[in-house]
Amino acid sequence: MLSSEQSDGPATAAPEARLTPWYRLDRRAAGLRAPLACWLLTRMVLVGLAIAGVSGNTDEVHALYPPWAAELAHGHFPVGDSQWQYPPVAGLVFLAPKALPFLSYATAFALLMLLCDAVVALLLARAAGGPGRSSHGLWLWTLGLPFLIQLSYLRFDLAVTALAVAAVLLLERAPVRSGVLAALGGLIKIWPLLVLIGAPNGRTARRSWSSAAVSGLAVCAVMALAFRHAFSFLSEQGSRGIEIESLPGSLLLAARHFGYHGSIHYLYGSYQVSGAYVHGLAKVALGLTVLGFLWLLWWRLRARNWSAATTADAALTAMLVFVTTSRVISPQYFIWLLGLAAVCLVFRDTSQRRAALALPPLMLLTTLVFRCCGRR
Amino acid sequence: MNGQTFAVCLLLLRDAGLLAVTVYSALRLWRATVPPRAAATASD
Repeated sequence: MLSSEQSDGPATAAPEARLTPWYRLDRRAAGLRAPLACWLLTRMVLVGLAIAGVSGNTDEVHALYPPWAAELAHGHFPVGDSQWQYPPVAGLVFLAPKALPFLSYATAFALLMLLCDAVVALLLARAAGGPGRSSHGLWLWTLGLPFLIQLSYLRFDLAVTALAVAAVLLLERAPVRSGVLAALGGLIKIWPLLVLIGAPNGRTARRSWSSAAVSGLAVCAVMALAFRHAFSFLSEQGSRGIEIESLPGSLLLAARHFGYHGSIHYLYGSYQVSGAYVHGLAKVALGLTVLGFLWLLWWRLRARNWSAATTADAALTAMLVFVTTSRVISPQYFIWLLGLAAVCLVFRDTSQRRAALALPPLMLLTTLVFRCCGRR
Repeated sequence: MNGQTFAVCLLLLRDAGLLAVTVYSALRLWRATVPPRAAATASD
């Protein structure tokens, strides 16, 4: 299966790059040493901040994830907990820090996320070799993530991003494995399934989509057998309102300065706006998400000129559409966007260069508002 | 301008930026992959 998969796509890597083992990055390109050293330096600071608990002990990783991990360790998912909003494989991410019992939960969680961050950096470094490729993606990931300060290590989005980045980079070369990775990501946070929207037409698309469907169903069955109430999260989705960090949420926050009487409450694991027009605006946002998805499907039907970068470009566009129109989204969505933007920059002929480079300034604004100005 | 108003201004600036990036990204993807209608008709 491996050899047939690898022969699917065009051979884009240089011969010397293919002969070098993946872990010998020093032999692949001297240009990778600087970004990797920079990655090491910045991550030491970020993980130090996360472990030192600079943001206090009220974050999800201190207050929310440990009780969930305790429940999962007893073989069942949280039930009747309005804050449990995640598909079943997310449970494994919350459970994983318990494999390091000699560390506190928050420290083990931060180290686990550091590992995921390292995986993304290594995938980008590995993909940077060869004609038509560049290390700009690795630079973007290395220098972009610190704009969220330690937030990346206090949430589990890095785990999902690592799976999505791997799925996009493998899509042309190994569509079956790519589909499996996207399905695993989708069973943690749904959105990684969107990365398959840019699968090249024909055999690659069929293989990646079918492997995602089959592996997704298989993993669901395993989780349902291994844990009780694996799908309890479904009952908590319908009544979610508008999160203050989302785009519709900011409109309502701005409207409060012009006399709108909305209040902010902690509901469903996030700060949400309550008041007049909230349900109407939530429906508009949902309608826009549906319209965005229909546009992506229309694009797939019309697209003809497929380059090596198209898969990554389409994944970033799909994610931007999803994030911009979502009513339940948080600042950590920038981790997903940054990961996909970094994959785009791996390809020299990407159409998304400016969009990718615009993300770090937007991340800085988000951090200023939600961390420094204390909007939460 | 108080702190809250400043924070909301920053938030709206971020949202405007994100919206602009999304539209730009979609347009760039379309232009890079979808041939102009005339060219598509000619190739058919």
